Amino acid sequence: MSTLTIPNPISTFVPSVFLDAPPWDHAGLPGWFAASQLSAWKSFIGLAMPGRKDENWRFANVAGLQFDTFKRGAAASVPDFTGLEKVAARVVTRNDGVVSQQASAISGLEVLTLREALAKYPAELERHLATPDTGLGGTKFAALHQAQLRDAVVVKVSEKTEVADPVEIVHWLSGENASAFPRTIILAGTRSKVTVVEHHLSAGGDAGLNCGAAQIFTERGAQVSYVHLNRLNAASKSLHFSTLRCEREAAVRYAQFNLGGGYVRSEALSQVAGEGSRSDMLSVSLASADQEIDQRTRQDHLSPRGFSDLLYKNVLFNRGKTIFAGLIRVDQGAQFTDAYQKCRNLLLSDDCEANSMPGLEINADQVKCSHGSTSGRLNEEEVFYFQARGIQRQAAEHMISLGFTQEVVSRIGQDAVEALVFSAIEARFAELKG
Amino acid sequence: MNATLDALELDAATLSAVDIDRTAGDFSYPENHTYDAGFGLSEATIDYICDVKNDPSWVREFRKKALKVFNEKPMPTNWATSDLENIDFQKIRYYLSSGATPKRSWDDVPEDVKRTFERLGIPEQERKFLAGVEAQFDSEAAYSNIQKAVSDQGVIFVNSTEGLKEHEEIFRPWFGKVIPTGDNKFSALNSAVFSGGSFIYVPKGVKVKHPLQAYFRINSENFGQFERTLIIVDEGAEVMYMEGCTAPKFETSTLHSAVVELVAMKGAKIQYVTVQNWSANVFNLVTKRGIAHEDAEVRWIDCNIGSRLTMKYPGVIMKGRRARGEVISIALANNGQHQDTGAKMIHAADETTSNIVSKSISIGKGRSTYRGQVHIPKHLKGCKNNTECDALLINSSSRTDTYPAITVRGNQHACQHEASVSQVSAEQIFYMQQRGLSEAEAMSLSVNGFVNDLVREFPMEYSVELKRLIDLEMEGSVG
Repeated sequence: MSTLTIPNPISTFVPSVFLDAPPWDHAGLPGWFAASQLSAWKSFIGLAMPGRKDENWRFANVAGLQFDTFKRGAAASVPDFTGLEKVAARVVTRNDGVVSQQASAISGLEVLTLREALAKYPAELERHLATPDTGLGGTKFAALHQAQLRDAVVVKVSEKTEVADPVEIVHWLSGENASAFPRTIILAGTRSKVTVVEHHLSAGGDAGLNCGAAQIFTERGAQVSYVHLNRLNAASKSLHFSTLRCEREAAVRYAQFNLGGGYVRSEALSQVAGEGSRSDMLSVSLASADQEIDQRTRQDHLSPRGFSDLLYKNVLFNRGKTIFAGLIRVDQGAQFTDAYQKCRNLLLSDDCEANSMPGLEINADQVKCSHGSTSGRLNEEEVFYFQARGIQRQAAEHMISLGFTQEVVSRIGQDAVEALVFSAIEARFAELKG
Repeated sequence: MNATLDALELDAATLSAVDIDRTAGDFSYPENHTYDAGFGLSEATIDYICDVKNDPSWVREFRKKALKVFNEKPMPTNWATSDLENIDFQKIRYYLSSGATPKRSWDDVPEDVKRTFERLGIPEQERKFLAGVEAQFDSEAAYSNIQKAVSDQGVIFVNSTEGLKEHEEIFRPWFGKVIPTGDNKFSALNSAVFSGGSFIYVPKGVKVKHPLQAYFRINSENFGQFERTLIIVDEGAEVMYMEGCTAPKFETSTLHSAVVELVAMKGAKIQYVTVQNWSANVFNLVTKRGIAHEDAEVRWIDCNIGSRLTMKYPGVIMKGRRARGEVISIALANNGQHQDTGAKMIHAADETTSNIVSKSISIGKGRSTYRGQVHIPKHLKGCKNNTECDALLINSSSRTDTYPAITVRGNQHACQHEASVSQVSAEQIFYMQQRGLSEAEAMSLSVNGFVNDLVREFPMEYSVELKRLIDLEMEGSVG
């Protein structure tokens, strides 16, 4: 099968421009992959748009989901970018095309393109390269992502390989109304260890659509850290779907930092699937101007003795709006589960809006579960403490807000990555305050 | 250790002293209704109800409009349990009564109805500590009385039918204003076929010393009870209202769908206490909401022990400055039960504060759910909310869910929410067993300890009964 025929739209909502693109070339790719893309495209067209009454889109501005203008444009050049100093491997892409690549020199660590991975590990890819549906409402757009997928970064770590330095992935969105569908797949072997840092950036001020996904698969005792830094421009829209699967004794740390984008929707499903596995989900989002940052999460406990913890912090400026909807679900039989969830909103303006919907669904006993959500302003006493020591109010507020995010950043657990993330947050703060 | 064996070891006197008759509500008398609207719901049903009740034309119109809304609205199964689909609205009788005028004297109440309420201890309680009592039997109030001293202060306590006829000037401006017909499918249903319920008006500055009480009783099979309560408490006045509910165990399911509207004028205080102990085949779908004006306070104290499915989210709209809303709730879900309860706090003025404390216990295959909404809109200053939800799971097949939704706009507010799910720890049980308590007793004690700080909020007579009810529900759940 070399080409696919794209069915005609039956819904009014189809980014028409995608149809103008020639059917993509599947030459040399396995038939199941082409079939999966075709069926994803069909379900994208067939599925209804999320409505206002849809519980998974509660409080969301569904009108923001208009992507008609976006296209697969020719990419302009991208600026230089300084990321991490020491990396195990690096991939830079622009609108889904690889720009530069620094291959891994570590035996046991492979960073592959989609074609390379399909050729080398067809069986594993067939198992894992499905539509990244999280079940959190964005099925239609996860299908869009799958159908439009051109490339992916596959990070494969072999058994007992511990990679000290992070793998860095940089995704540029460049050109007017450009669109990109970046996908990261992490396959961590038994007792392996790896950190992946992913940047999403806009090359200029043009509007763009970034509809990406990350999937993390572990084997027994693997340890994976995935850090997602969204620094798109304010004109761009970002949709992101993450699925984490923690097998027996594995530990996955997922950290998402939303420091940009105009409309941001992020869905993350963490499956605490194996006995004694652990999942950490972390996030800092800074919402300003007319930004809407909509995060939906689910901690799914499927086996006994699992541990999961979630800490999402939002700082809201101007007319910023955030939505957090998180669910801890403990399956029948998942006894001795420890699951925690906390969402904290710091409201810095009179016009911002924070929505929180923390949720619990517990179907087993012998569990320890709790969730908490707070929304409030800066503590006046803390500001006063600074002022009493000669620090101006504005500087004090700045420091306290930064400190608020530090609790999350410090849990990444790798100094170089923490420093990178923290400086990105600081830069964004300076932008918003200035 | 075996719980039942332990219970047998107690001597008969102790047993009768600590025990209450769990089957107190499980009896029924043969039906003897003068008026029966028959099965199913249509315009004709509404006309029948209006004719029997001799409703004014505006009420007839109101009902018919509500019926349309009810028919148009879908079941809220997009977020609620699909068990709702098991309600067959055409297999329910919407109006049953033996006359629309309640009796003022206990002696005039028909013999079997009187026996019903005597078995439930109503007249006894009235003599003891209540300022007024209303007892509703199926669709209509069978007995309604208010102590003379209280009525002399100008307090009105009648059923809703009498309220809308005799006190239209107070009743009509607020009726359906706190909970509009179209609020949800079941408020629309209630608006179409409502009958019974209380109307209370407390004049300015009057503080009703003793609680007013209503008792709701379903006696007939396949019957839907749709009482409508409206309480208006004028400036600076205070009242406490209590309601209790029971029904016998029928084979088929029964529907109870009430609408309760509270209006607290400037500086007024309303406390609304519910102890719901419906039998396990009752669908209990209730809409309750209060408006609190400046400096006013509305408190819902809610205890749900019975029913097959309860969906109840008491709400407070804090409309005036410094208004305060509170929901305190205890839910206990045993086998085959789903307690879907919660609270709604709508802040609509500066410096308003609200507090929600919810505790639930799931036993056996029981399921308890907390669903809440806190809304603090823009341009308000100094609003505060505190929400605490704690759930206790007793058995491995018990289930609990928490679904709050919190919206805060602007930086002048403080809002916190906390929920936890836990278990009675094995160490705690062991500690008590070591000191000679059986496992069942230890469990019961732990559960009572879990809800103790909330039980204290109930009036004394209720909190004692509540503790015993919890003990009974706990019986046989361990060991």
